[in-house]
Amino acid sequence: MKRVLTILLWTAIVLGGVAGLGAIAFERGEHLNAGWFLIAAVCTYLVAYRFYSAFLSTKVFMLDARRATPAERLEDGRDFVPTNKWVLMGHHFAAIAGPGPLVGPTLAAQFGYLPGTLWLILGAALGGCVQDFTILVCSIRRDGKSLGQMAREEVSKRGGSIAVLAVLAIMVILLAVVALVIVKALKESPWGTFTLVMTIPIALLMGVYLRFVRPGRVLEASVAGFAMILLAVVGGQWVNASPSWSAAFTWSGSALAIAIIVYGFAASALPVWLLLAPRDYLSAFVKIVVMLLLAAGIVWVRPALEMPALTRFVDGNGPVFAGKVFPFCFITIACGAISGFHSLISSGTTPKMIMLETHARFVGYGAMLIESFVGVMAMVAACALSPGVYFAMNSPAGIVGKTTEAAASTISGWGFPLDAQTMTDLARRVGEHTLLDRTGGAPSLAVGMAQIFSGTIGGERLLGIWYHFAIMFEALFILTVLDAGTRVGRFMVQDFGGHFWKPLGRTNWAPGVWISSGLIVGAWGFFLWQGVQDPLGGINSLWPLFGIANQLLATVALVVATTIILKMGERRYAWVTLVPMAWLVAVTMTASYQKVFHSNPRIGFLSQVRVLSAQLASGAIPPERVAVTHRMIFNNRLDAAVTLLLAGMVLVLVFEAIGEWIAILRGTKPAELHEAPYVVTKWAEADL
Amino acid sequence: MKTRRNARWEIFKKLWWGFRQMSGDAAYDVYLRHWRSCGATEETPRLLTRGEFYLERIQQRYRTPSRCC
Repeated sequence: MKRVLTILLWTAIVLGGVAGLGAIAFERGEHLNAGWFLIAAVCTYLVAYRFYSAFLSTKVFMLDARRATPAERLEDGRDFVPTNKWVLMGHHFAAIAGPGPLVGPTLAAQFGYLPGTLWLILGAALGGCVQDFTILVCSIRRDGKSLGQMAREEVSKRGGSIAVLAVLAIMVILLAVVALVIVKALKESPWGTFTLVMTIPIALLMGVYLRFVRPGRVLEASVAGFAMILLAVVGGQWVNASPSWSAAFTWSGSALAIAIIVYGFAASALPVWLLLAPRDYLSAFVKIVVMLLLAAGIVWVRPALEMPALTRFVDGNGPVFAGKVFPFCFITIACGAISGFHSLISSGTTPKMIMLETHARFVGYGAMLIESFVGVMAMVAACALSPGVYFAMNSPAGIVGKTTEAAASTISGWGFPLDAQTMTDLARRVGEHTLLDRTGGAPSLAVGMAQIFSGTIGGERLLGIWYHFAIMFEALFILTVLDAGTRVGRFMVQDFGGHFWKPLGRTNWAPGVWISSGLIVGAWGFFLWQGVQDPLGGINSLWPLFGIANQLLATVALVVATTIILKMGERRYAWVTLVPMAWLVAVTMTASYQKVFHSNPRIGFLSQVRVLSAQLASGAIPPERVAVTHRMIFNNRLDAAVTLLLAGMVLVLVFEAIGEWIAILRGTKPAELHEAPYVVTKWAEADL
Repeated sequence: MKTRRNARWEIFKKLWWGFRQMSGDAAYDVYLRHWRSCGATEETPRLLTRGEFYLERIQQRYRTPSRCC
């Protein structure tokens, strides 16, 4: 009887998933309700977790609850700590979920909701979760080794170096692009800027409290910090209303970029307890609260999506970023579907805390499903906006015009009706001077979230507060990524530079800290400045570059996982990582090629160089723009070189790995695994 | 009745402990538990104070990628 009920239940879940996906894919009449997205996502996740992750666990990796994990064997109460699987899942999710699953889907909404949503749901189930899970298992069986170490040992020495270089490159581009998202969200926005500036003294206060007053009492400091942040959000409206205060916090894009660069340097060079750690605790706390609020809000309001399933911009001429739906949808949405950066977390702290090998399924596969759900919620929030409003906010002024009237006319001409008064009213309702040219995804997502939140609590009266709450939330954890990333980058520069000049490698030598911090901040600051000065908004160039770098890192992770599966002798199951890897190689190589060589100057860096050079040669550039144009030519050449370098490195690794696989399959090379020895867990009796 | 209340209290305590662990608030308590069961080792010759432990942990954590994009 129980078996019959189970079969009936899973049949209902499968049918629910099919109905949800079917509605998303084929419904073309009235505006689709967000409820269908929730049904499609949740049912697909349940099926994927119940069946596919079980297959990966039992057939491919044969997870063994009797095999002691590094958390047990090397337990030290610090890094290696056996942790309850629910707690570890929370830890792991907080570490993998950043701004990516929110911003990427918002940008990809320019293609309509269909391609992005399908990629989020299916890409996660068959790609992202598989990557996170397999790298986690591989790391657990190797005493928690990092991706770079595993690549070096299991693929080749060069593979390890490529992984490390890819991490550094992705870090630089990632930091530049997330900083650009903040600049675009806060420029000319006194309320938002005030709120974010206030997070700095709040974090400093928390830092002093956690260091000297009540050391390590993270929870009480986070709750107090959260309360102060809420006060700052509410207080921002008075700053906005006061002419003098409003003027003091109205910053241009360039001013904001300089402030963020200075901040990044300070966060990297200052003691970690003062700014970075307290901000991170605060950010994690706010992140969990807001994501729960958003999920509850969407379930409660169930907004109708105004964006069509597919827009005309699948042809590659989108105003948010240029490029066809293939491959650009799949690199624009990285986090939320598959993100190489996750492999660093899966081979970082998590494998050192897992209690039983079998928990890897729940932690690795499960946490990624939740992140995918966050991406689907972001897609719903962005697509619940009127398409006219969405395009007005996310298109650079260089494309739609600098005035509200010009933007309304251009966007209406694309078939998305918009009148100028709507934009003016919306800006006033959310407490902004203007919402035009707010590229980067964060502001339009904040409007979408504010509409959902205010539909649940407070109504129209609180729309402005909810908007700035959402902006604060996005900016807060973007700054956390910036702080933490810059510091990690600094250590990587010190590690690397220490080989050539010993003192630089000493992490307690102040000039070494300043030089390495300056180098890493200078690197991402350069790309940030480039994005701020770009007349096409910067996102058009930088976000695809970030997506390519991130997906290339995922390719590295899947190459490592495939090699390990083959070495384990499970060749009949190698497709589980080989198929997503092949897909990513196709996506990233096509995108890299197009970003460098495409004839459309909005897509191809070198075409843009040719157009600008021709304009210079013909004298079409006014004298005051000549220097800027030369700089843009240099920037485009640099972007092309970085893209080619990244793609080239990964191709070398892929070909090297293919050679290794052929040798293993032919038996000409021994399939030597570098696993830690098998030890039976002391919990075996208790848990089995 | 009392047993049921006790059971509820136990569940609440477990949830609270899990929440504290998830937020990082209980890291020192976990370390203390480990110290009490294992005592001094080569890597940890003496018991760290709460302040020392906090500082050591955060300095270690932000050396490797700990936050994703």
